[in-house]
Amino acid sequence: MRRLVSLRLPTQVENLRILLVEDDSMIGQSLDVALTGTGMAVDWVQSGADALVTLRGAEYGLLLLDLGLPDQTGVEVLRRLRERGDSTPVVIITARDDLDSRVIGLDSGADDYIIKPFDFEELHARIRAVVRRHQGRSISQVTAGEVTLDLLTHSVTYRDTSTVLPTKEFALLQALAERPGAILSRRQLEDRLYDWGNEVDSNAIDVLIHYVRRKFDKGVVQNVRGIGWRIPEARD
Amino acid sequence: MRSLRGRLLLWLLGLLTVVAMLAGVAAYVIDRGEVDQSLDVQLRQIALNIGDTRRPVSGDGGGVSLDPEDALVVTISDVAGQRRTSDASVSIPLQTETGFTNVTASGEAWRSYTLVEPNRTVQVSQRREVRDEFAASSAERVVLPILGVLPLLWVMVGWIVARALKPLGRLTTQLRGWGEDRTDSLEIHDVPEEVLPLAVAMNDLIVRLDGQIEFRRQFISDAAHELRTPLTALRLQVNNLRKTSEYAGGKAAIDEMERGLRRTSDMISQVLDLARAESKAEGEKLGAVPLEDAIAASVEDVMHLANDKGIDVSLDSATDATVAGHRADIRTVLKNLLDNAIRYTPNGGSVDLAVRRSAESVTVEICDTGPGIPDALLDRVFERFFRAAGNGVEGSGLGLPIVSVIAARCGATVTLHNRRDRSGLVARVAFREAAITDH
Repeated sequence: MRRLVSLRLPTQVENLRILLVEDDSMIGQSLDVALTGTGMAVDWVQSGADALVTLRGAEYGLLLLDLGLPDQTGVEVLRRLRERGDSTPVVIITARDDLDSRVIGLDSGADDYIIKPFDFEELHARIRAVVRRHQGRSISQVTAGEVTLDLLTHSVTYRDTSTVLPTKEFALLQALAERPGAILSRRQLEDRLYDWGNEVDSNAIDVLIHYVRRKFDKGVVQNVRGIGWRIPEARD
Repeated sequence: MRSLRGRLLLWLLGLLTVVAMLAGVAAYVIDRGEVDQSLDVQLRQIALNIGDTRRPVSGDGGGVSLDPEDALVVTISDVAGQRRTSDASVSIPLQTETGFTNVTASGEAWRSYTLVEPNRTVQVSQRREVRDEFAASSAERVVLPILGVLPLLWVMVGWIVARALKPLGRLTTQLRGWGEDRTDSLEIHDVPEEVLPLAVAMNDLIVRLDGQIEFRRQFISDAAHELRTPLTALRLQVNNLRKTSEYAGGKAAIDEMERGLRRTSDMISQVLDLARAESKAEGEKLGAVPLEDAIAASVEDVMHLANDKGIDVSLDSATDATVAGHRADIRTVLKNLLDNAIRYTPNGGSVDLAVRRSAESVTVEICDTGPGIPDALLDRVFERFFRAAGNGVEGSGLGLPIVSVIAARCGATVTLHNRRDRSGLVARVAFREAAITDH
């Protein structure tokens, strides 16, 4: 009944060719070194105009774009890029963390953004996520913390264990994994299960959580008493 | 006296009192003259008509009815020098010439008219006192009504002065309502001409001050943003250093460095949060936020920290409530308080939330098992960059100031108390319950 599958996720970002657009030479230099250190091929330009020219001449797997450029804003660069039909994935780096700046960035066609100052590991994770999504893998996989769900096979991987879950248990985990870190209340989870066409008993959630935990361990789903359940972040 | 109103009242009322007194004195002086004249005529009439010399004057006053009130004394002296007088108790020296004289006799002042005829001399005298009384009573008639009206005048003057000063009062009220968040110009359309220059100057000042405040906010915001760039570079460089460092003790040093950099980053974020919280427009319409969602969202924000320290976070008594405010604001307030609670609670402790509803408010209580705060410092922890000494916890000292600024904007109040049952702190946020709106 239980099928244990060893699932090693291949990352396609090792040989990624990346264009870094960053006017600040301190950050540019450090990022160049760090990204190259992960096996990426990095080209670094310091202005929007250079970025647009470079992008015409070569194909990149990802554009890492600082919003505060000297000649034109990163948003303008992005807009021109999209206008001419270039769909290179873009991750924005910005020092502005107010809501407006983020919305403008994403609206202009960025795939993700990261706010200065950031940890390199976080940037690296986002780059990987964006690239994977662009390679069409996002449709079939959802990851939250240390939990990865395969939407096609209903296989769930937690730490070193993989197993295929029954529909209700999978639906419950999927609801939690779609918003990593979020706490979902009993009512919200019941609504989700109901949407999936399942009958929901009064203690259904507790029972399902119990089953899921038994298959992995207690840490796969965290209970916040009085509020709800969540999938915890990966531990260092 | 520094009050304009008091000064005006004092001067106006003083003036009125002086006028009343002057009117009395004037009435007295003028009437005194008139009384003198008419009584002099009367004296002369009496002297001329005193009657036949052959008839005795004594007893019935020589046919003239002498009213004691008039205080008249008639003396008649014939050629032989024999005198008859209507009142023997006073002896007034007889004048030798026809005319009016003022004399003093028997210790009293008299006014006399002497009529010298060939066969007799008639002298009619009247106590001057009578005349004074006449004049005084006439002055009284003038002064009394004025004195009577004086209290009424006081009230009226007070009212008029208050009315005239009302625009000043309005200006003061406007200025008083003026703070860092509300810097509209003063309304000057009904300001009296005399105060107008002051109000205009004030408005100029407001504009300049407004600019200064805006400049300060912008500067803080810009400075914090600018600091983020080198800080980002530093963090990246430390990351690169970690990859290349071969020195055995290097890892610990790099960990320390990273911790410091992260702390600096957090502080910059908090400075920006505070600058942003303070610059948000006041009087923005508050929304209605389901408290349950806001609590879940804020707990989400701190769960990683709680998990790292093995701290149990729970909501003990939930109540469905909708509170006034903006979703992001309420989340920030609760998140900062939870963050503090978790930071100061030792590993393995607990942070309990509770929601209580009363007639006036919905209170969220965050109860931790940390060391609490010395009672004397409970108020000071809301000051910027204040941190209780020796707690060994890294913080920016801006969390609580941010909380109080944002809470105030939602009309919520934040209070801290030490637990009674054990060591620990209770943070209470009293939100206003959102008005029920029709959908």
